Amino acid sequence: MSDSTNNGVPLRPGQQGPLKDVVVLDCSMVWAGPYCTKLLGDLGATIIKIEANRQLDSVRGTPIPPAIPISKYANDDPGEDPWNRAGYFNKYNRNKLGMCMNILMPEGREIFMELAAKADVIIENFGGGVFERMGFGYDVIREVNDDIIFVSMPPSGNGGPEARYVGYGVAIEQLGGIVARTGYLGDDVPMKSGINYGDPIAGIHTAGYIMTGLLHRRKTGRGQYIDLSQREATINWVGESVLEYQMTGNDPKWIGNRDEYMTPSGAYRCTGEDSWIALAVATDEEWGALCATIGRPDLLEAYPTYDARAQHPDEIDAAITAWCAPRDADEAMMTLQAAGVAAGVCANNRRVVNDPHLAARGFWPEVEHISAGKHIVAGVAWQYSRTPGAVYAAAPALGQHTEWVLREVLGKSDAEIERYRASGALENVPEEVLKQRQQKAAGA
Amino acid sequence: MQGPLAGTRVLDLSQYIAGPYCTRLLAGFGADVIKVEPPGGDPIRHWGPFKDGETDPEAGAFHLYLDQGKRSVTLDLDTADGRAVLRELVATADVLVESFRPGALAELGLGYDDLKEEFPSLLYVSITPFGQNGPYAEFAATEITTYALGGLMYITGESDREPLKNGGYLGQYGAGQHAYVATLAAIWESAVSGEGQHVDVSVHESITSLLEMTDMNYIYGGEVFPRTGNGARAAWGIYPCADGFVGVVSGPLRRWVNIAELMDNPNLADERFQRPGAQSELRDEIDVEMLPWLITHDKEEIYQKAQALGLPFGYVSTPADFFRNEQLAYRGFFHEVDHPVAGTMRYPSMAAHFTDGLWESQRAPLLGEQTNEVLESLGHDEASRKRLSAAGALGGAPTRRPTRGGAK
Repeated sequence: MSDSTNNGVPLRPGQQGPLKDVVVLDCSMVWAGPYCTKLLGDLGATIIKIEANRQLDSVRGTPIPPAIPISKYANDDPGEDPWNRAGYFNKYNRNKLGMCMNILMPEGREIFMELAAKADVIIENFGGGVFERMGFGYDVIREVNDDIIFVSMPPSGNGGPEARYVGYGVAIEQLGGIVARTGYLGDDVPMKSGINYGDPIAGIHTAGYIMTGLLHRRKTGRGQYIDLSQREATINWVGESVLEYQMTGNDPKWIGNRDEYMTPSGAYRCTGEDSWIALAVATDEEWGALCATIGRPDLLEAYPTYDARAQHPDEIDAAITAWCAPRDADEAMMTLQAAGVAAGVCANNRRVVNDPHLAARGFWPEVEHISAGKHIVAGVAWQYSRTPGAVYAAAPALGQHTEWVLREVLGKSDAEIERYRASGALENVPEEVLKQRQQKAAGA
Repeated sequence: MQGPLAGTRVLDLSQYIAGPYCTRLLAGFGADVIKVEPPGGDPIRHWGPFKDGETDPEAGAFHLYLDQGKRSVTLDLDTADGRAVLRELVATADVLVESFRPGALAELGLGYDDLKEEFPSLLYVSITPFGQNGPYAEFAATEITTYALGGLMYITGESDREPLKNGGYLGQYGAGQHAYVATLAAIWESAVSGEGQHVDVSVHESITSLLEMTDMNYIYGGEVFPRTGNGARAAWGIYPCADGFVGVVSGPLRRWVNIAELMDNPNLADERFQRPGAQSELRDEIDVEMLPWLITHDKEEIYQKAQALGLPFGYVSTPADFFRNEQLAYRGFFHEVDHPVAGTMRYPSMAAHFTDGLWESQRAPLLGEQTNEVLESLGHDEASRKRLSAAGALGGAPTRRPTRGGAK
């Protein structure tokens, strides 16, 4: 296959960025894989996401919503089609084309293999070996697309004694060494992260590895099977602690918001409900600025050096706490920053969404979703001066682009599309909802 | 081995963690990364931990890990000669990576706008706490500052205690990992168009991108997302065991009976525990049934037995655990690397197997180790190098220190 031709896949209005000649067939779900394809899609790649009406991406939530949904629905209302209205799904799947088809049926398989022949990349994050057992292993895909970049991202990699192991982000961050150094100072038990950290760590790694594979293909003409381990990806983010252990024999500990190399370092309560700023002092100059700002030149005099500060963290924390207590967090941050102290508000999600800096950088673009309506969403993670990426389309409703892809990407005729529809392989109402409707009809 | 980025030259002016981690990845995949260091070196060289606690700019853990596979050149950019040599290097480079305060390099005549006309194909990647523009662009920042403003800190920890930063430097690593994607995407495009550009990576936005569904809960539902600590659900989080902590994760409800089987406790198979919502409502009852078994078993054993039953357990792992785990050993994730000062250690490599290999683990350079060879490649003969050195452009002589016996 020729390089960088896009294989005749048409671009959508607004689709732009350095990767607009790359086509990705995305069979991944939840967060790790979809975060990877979000990054690529934001840079202009065409992402064709495949779901089935019996296997929705689970972050759409269950088709019949539970009492506590996985994330909020648009306007806090599940509506008639809750699976199209979940914030979790609609955030990370913007810019993607959504197909709903059963690839285990012959018609679905036929379509899938035609798409596979046109794609540059296929990505899946089913558990170890599942996708292969479904009949879509690397060797099978290579028969129709010899230089495909095929990515698999199980918890601990394919092959080896743990090849079939299952894992969610909550366990991966433990296995990867993050949790062992996270926790309140003095607590007996470490603390999990506020997010399932293992997922995006694996996702960013994978996006970079896909680009590495594409550049390698451009140079050599060779495709690539990329077998990612989510655990190993996470370990890469604590790499220095792996060396520390070998140098000193010390395993990491958790020390709250304190820092091994900076004192003070912490979170300090301000006025208002659950309102805090965080700061850390990296240099003697910043320490002097902090002491001057909080009106405690005596502290600078008593503890002028890092070594002296490190001996008296509690006394220093108490002084900062006393200064912050009657102050608004944003005002305290601005005052300290004006003096050169690295302070920041501990922003909750409301403050993040309304952050003036992010607003000035255009980080919250608006999209219009077919069911959820207009809403803002977290933007592109980078800015390019000449080939900027964009958030140009909302996440797809289930199966929203099935027909578009058949027509525009595969050149299928009306009659062919009708044949596929009639087979049932393109059903895009969730199976549970169909059953419920049948039961209601039978009852009536 | 010829990595996929062989033939790509990267001029690395970045310091500390985020930028150097990005260029570590470029080097591992074959790029020629020239680390341009100020006199005294990248300040990260002076961060511990060090072997035996003794400060040594050649043997800090961060430096050894982050600067793997790079060449080191010392240049004093405060001198006109130092800046002139840098421009000579830019002329040979495809990519420049930097992490200075926005505008700092422009003050030296080395900003993107200063270079783009002479070097139109140059990719200029800036990795900074808050990006190149906007109200916080000039803010002072450390890891905790960007973590706080990015929104991750507020949702980590317990609701009645202060927000908690993750240990380590995940914000920095995250920005570096994002920057690697951004840099390769720019290389991908530039190879076709022949044109360069400025890529602006913000640590803050790299963190804000990872808020899972929590920002949407405000956008869609007006909910201020709280801290929930280790969770309000049984069997979904951290539990003590005989030698540490395990991640008891029950997975889908149909798997619940496997927990009873694992812990050899029929009480846990109680129908009441298998109803939706039971893990929250009956958390204490469930915990009482699980704890006696957990605290008498080791973490690796619990993990292996649970996974054999299809349960998605994990355990709180430390580096000591990494080196005991058979899967990581099977994959060959840790590569032995020798260093003339730090000796031989096992370093994390890349987190994937590629059909063609592609990654190579090499050691970090000594400060200024390649200053002479790089200057020579630019056409500076010995007399010219002496002149530059005398003018202070090279930040003093390259490090000359005794190396440990037995080194390669």
